[in-house]
Amino acid sequence: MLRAEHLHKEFGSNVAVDDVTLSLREGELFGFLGPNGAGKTTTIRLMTGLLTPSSGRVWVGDADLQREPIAAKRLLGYVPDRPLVYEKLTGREFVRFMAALYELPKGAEAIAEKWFADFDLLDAADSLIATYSHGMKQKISLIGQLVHRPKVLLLDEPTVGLDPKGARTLRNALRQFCDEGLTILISTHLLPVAEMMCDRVGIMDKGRLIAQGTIPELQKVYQTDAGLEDLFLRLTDDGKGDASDWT
Amino acid sequence: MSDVRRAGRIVRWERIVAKRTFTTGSVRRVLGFVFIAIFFVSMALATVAPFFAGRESEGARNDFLFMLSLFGGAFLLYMQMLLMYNRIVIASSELLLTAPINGRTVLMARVAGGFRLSLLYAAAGLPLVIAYGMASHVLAVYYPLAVLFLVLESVMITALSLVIVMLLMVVLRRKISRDFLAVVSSVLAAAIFIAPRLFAFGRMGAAMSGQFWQGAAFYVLPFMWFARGLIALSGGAAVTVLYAVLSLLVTGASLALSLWIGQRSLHERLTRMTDEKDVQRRRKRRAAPARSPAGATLAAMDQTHAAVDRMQAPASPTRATMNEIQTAMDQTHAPGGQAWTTVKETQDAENSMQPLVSSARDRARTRWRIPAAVLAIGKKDLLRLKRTPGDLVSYLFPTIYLLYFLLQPSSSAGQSIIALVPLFLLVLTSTMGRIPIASFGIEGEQIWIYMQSPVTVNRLIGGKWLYSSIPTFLWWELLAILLGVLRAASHPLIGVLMVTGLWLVPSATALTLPFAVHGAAFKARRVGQRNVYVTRASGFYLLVLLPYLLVQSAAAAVASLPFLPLSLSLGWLTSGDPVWRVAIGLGVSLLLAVAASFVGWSMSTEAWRSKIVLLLQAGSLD
Repeated sequence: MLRAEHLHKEFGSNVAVDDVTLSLREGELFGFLGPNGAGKTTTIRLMTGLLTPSSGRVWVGDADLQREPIAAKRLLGYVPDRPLVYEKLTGREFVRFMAALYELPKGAEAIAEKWFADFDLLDAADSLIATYSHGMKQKISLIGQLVHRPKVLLLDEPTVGLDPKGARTLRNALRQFCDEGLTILISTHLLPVAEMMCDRVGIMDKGRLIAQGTIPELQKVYQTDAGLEDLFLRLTDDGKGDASDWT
Repeated sequence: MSDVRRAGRIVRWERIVAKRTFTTGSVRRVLGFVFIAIFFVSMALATVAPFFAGRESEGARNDFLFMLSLFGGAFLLYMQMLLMYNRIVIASSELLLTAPINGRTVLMARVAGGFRLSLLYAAAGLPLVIAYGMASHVLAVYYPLAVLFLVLESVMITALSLVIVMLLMVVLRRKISRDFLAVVSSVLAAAIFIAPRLFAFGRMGAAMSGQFWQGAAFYVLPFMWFARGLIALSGGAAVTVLYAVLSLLVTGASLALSLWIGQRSLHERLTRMTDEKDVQRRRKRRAAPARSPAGATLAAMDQTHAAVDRMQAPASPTRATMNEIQTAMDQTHAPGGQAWTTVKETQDAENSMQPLVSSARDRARTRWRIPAAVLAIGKKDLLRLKRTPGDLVSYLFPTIYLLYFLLQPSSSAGQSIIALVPLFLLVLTSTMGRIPIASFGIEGEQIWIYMQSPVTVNRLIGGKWLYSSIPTFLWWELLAILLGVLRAASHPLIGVLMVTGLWLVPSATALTLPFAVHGAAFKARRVGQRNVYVTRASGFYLLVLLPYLLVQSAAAAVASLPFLPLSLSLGWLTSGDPVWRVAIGLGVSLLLAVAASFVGWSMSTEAWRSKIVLLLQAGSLD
């Protein structure tokens, strides 16, 4: 459903993303892990069309993101780490606005009412977003991205700023969306959460995707019984990313 | 260490930070210089023209000087109140407040920049001082003294604005929003400008005599002291010294009072205001109408039904497709987790209906309908404008200024009206650029929403065009109606004005949009900091809009000459059949507008494409 091939991005002399290739199946929940500055956000932005790659291609479904950006973007949803919302709109108005941007038929945003309830936003749905807390803005940003029924959803640190209940609701909702066929890529630092809910994970370090697969697959490749946290720390530790050192 | 020295250090550090934040290249500096030069030339034109129009009459000259003194003072007060508010309340003081520094020091550091800016505003009054001196044939010694006096008056008004903001902070037991302050300051400034005129309303119909402003009531208005001092100075009178001493006293008293208030309460107020944000947020959330989840869901389902019904009507879909929709809608009522799947199916079914819209009439209707995305962008921005009174009141000053001139007694019309054309153009240009120029910048980092959604360039530009044209168009029409109501213009002239607005405003907006795109500052909005919507580059719109309006005014003049109370002889323009003149004038104006709209639209799309290439390459908004 989402394919990236040999993605490469340079900012001046700095290589932010180096030859990243990955493919996500329909209904898959993919965890995108890596230390700060590893290039996760840049890769996600390349895959949402918010950055132009120096080289490499991205396909969303059958649409090439570079050649058919409009068709590809219709299938995409992206929730960045800092919520993108209009503070002078109410929650409902924002969702209606997003529905109109995707040119959905009038009334299509009604689907969002369920998520307003699920995310405890019903009481605040008619208040200006300026009065929302960071977590509430994060939730309304997510609802705004779900309203056009994307096929692929990319979330960059979505649980930052969410209270425990909100974080659990989000996790459950994401799992449920995947079960219903939505493909999700989630970038997170919460390794236990990634271990618990993701079908596969990818680990980035210094702009390169150094490992990807299910956790048992990674354990097999690197011949270890260590959990995801140990795997992550060993892989992203300088000079110790080579599996041969571990055996 | 004394508070003054501490404040001085803070100012120096903040200046270093500002210098590194707003870096400018040499080309931009040169362009900035050219722009400032043009601004001052325009200001000179606007202020000098009336002096030369009424150079024969000392009374008319003095009246204009009083009016400008009052208007300039009111405008400076308005601007400085907002500036002081930005510096004292909006600018992040958290770091300073955590240090062992008292409120007085913070206040002194914050207001220092405000006083520096008052000198810039004073510079804008230089052409006025020079023109008045030349028209009054004064001695050479007048000029340096008058400039010093101008600076002193600017500083006094800045000090007054500071004390008003400080008093508001202390008196109001709530957080002062920028919008609230903008409304208060504009109403205050408008009252200062209009009230003296209203007090002497009985004399409105009389010719300007130079005696109008001499009433005792006007002596107490500090905003009049500049004109009084200048008039006295041109005659070599020592009365100017009295006004200078008075101004110094008012400045000193205002500063002392502000610092006294600041020392006592600024620290406490700023800290409390930070806390109040949370309290207000909780209060607003509690006040929001509670909705039962079940009720909301049912209402939502009704809306979905309605939407599907609407889809059915024009397209006449096949029975099979309708059955699919009905099945999907039935499933929508299924509980819990199936909602996502079922609504998705419903919408898939709706999407599959698209090819059924096939009749010629439907195709034409679809083609000529304004796309939903365009309407949504326009509506979103209009809602924002409505909820940001601070931006809306920016129309108030130009309106007052124009009305003031347009409501002059008929005896001063004629030649002086023609002389005021540059001034009108300046005001119109500034007003027409107000909303469009910030239309892209107000998006801030939310601009990514458009970039990640399937919105085409044309739809985005269309949405912004729609949004930018509507407020200015309404302003234009309202102004025309006001003129008609107040009988300052004949009804046919009002008609010409109103009709011209239909294309003049959208075309002027279109010409402004490329500069709005180019100068947009897509920066993250930060709580506790002043939002910057546009860079200085956007100000260059004046260079295009001013000549455009000049050409348009020539075309409009051809149409409106038959309705003006003028006895000018301008060849075929004032002779012959008025109907043809109106038709030709309006026709040329319309053609110009179409051409300008086309050019503006093309340049906007190109500017946007360049902008997104930059954004997509850099990935940064800053």
